[in-house]
Amino acid sequence: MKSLLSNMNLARWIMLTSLLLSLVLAVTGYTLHQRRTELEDALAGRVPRTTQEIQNLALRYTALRAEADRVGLTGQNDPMTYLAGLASMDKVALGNVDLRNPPSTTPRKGVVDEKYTIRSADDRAVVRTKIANYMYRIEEKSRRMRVTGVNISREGSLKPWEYGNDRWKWNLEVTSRQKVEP
Amino acid sequence: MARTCGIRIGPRRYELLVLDGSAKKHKIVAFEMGEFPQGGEDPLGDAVATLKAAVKSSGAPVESVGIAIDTGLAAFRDIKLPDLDESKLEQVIKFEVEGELPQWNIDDVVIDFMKLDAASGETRLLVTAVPKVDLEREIEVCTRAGVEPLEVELEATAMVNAAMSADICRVDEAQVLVHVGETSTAVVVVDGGVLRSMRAIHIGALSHEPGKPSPGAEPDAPAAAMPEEAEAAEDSEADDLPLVIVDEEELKRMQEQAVRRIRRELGRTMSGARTANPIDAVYVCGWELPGLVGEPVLDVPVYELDVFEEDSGNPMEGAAPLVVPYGVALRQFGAAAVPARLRREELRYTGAFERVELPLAIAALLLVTLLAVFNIFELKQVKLRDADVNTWRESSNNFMVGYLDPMPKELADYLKRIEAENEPIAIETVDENGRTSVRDYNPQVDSDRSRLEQISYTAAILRREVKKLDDQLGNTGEVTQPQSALEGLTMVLGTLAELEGQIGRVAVREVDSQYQLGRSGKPDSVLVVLDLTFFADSTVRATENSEKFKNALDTKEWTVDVEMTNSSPFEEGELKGVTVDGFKVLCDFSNVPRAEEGQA
Repeated sequence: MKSLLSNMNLARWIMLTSLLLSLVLAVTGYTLHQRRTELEDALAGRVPRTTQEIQNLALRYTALRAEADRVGLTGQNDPMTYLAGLASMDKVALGNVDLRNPPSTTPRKGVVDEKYTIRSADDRAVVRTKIANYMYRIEEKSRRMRVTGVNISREGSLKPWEYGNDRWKWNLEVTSRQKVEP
Repeated sequence: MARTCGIRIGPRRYELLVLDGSAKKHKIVAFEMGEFPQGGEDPLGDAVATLKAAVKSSGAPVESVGIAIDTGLAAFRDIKLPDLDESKLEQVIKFEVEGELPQWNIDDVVIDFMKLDAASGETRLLVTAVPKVDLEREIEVCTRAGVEPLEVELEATAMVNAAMSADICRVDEAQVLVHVGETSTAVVVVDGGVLRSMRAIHIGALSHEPGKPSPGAEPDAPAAAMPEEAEAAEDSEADDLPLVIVDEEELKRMQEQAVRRIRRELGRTMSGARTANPIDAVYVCGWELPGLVGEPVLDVPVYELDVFEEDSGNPMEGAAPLVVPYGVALRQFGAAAVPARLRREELRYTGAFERVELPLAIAALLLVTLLAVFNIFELKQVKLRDADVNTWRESSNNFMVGYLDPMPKELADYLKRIEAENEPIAIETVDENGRTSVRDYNPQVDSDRSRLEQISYTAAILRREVKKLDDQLGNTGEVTQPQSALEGLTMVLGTLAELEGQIGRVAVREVDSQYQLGRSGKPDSVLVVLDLTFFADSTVRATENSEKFKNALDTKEWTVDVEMTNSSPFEEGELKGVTVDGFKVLCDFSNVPRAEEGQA
C-alpha cells in the first residue's frame, strides 16, 4: 500500500478519484434512470388507472357508507329506526307502525337472520299502493334486507264476490341475513 | 517544462542528476553523489535505502529516469554483417555474436548493438553484451528505491552522449573519452563525431581496495572478462591479490600504480585506434585520480571532460562524476547520439501505462463529467415526471374530497399528517384582469412515500374501506340473502296481469307470501298463497279461467309447484264464477338470471 501510494502521481490520482466518482455516479445515474423509466411507465398506465380507480372507489364508498348508515351499521342509525323512517316516506305514509325484533335465528352455520315484523300500530287498513311502495323501498334501499313475509287481506267482512274499498290490512316480515364473525 | 533524471549506479558509488528544460536548453536543478554503505548484512537493502533517500532529497521525477551501469560489466565485440535492416539485425544478432562470447550462455546476456559504419555491402557493428543478472540487480535497486528506469545504458554511452551534446566531438578531429569508475575504466574513441570503438579497462580508482561489489551483488561474482581485456584483467588480478592497505604511503603508491596502468592502457588504445582524423585530446571524467588529467599520453593532452554550460547549475568543482548521469538525463530528453538500449527482452520497460496515463486521466475526467451531466439530466427528468404524477394525485384528491362523504378516518388522518409535515408555500397568481392574489399551497410531500406510492396508498385505503363496508353490508357473496317474498308475490301477480283479457275478471281477496328456508336438501323457496275470485258468464268458464291461470304459472321457470284444490262455484244474481281459496304457488328464484347492477 505504501509503495502504491509512493508511485502515485497527479494523473494516477485523477484516474483513481475519477474511477471512484464514476462508480458512485454510475450507480446513482442508473438508479435515477430506473426511477425515471418507472415514472414514465406509471404515467402511461398505472397512474391514470389508479386515479380513476380512486374516483370510482370514492363514489362507491360514499354510496356504501350511505347504505351502511341506513341499515344502522355505522352507528348513525338502527334498523328499527330505518324501517320506521321508510314507513313515513313520501308515497308510503303508512302512519305509525308496530316494529318488533323477535329473536334472531340461525338458518345455517356461520350466518344469522335478524328478523323484523312490521304492522300498522293501530291496525288501520291502507290502500295497497302504499304497502307495495313500502316493500319496494325496503328492498331498494338496502341489499341486506329482504321482505320475507307478506300478508295482505281486505278490510272488513266481505263475501267472495263482493267488491271492497281497496283498503287492506297488512303485516310484513323483513329479514337481514348477516355473517357471524368468529 | 519537462524534468528528467539520470542516475549512475556503480559498484561503490552513485551519482544522480536532475535536468529541467529541454534537449536544447536545460538546467541542472539537483544532483546527488554518494557512496553505498559497505559491509552491512543486507547490501542490497542498504543500497536501496541510500538511493531512495537521494531520489527523495533531489525531487527526481520518478516517471522519467534513466540509469547508467558500470561499463566493466559489459563485453564489447566488433563484428561485420551483411547489410540488413534494423529488424532483421535484431533477429540475427544473437546467433551471430554467440560464437564471440564463449564465456556466457547467449540466453543469459542482453545483446545491444550500434552501427559503426557500412561499406561494400557490409555493416560493422559494435556489439555490447551485459549479463542479465547484473542488469536485473541494478534495475531492482532502482525499482525498490521507487524509480522505474525507462532505459539502462553503460557509463561509456552516457559519457559519449554528454560529450556530443557539449560539442566536444567535432567532425575534423578524433578524441578519446575516458570514464574512470570504481573498478573499471570506460574508454571510447570518437572520430569525426562518430563513435569508433569502445572498451572497458578493468582497472578503476578503487581497484586496489578489497571487496568492491556492486550494490547488492554477490561479493564473489566478478564480471567475466573478455579475451581482449584478459591482459588488463590479469594485471589487475595480479595487483589485487595482496590487497592489504598498510598506510597512506602504500595507498598513494597503489593509486599511482592504477593511474599508470590506466595511462598505459590508454596509450595502447590510442596507438591501436584506426582513426581518420588525428586524436587531438583525451577527455577524462568520473573518478578524479591525481596524475591522470594534465599529463599527456603519447603527446596527446589529457583534459577533464567538462560538458556543462556555464551557470547551468553544475558544481564549480568536482563535476567530473556528474558527466555520466548528465548524459543519461539528456537521453531522457531524446537527445542521444548513441541510443544504447539494454532494457530488452524480458527486461524491457514498456512504459505502456505511463504513456497513456495522461490521456487516461483526461478520459476519466471526461467520464466523470459525462456521468455527472447524465445524473443532472436524469434528476431533472425525474423531478418533472414526479411533478406530473403529483398533478394526477392532486386532481384525484380534489375529486375524491368532493365525493367522499364522510372521508374515511384513516385517509383523513393521513392527509392531515402529510399536510402537517410540510410548510405551506405562498403562491402568487395573476388573473386575466391583472389582479394579483396569493394562496397557500401545501405540497403534501410524504417523507415515507414517493408521489406514486402516495397515490397507491390512497387507493389502498379506499379499497380497504370499501371492502369493509361490502363485508358489513353483505355484498361480498359470502352470505346468500333469503329469497324475497315480495319478489314471489310480484311474479305471481304479474303472471295474472299477463292474462288480462283472457281469463275474465279476477278479484284478489287475500295474499300471503312467505320465504321458505330450504331444508333436507331442498332449496330455499317462496310460497305464495292467494284467495281469488274468478268472474265469468258461467261457472264453467270461470273454472276454465282458473285452470288457464294455473297452466300459465306452470310454464314459468321459477315455478316449482302450483296447487289449486279448493274452488267452489257461486251465482249471486248476475254475478257468476268460482272462488279459489288457498291457491298455492311455490317459487324458487335462485336460478333466475338477473341483470347486473347498472345494466338494463
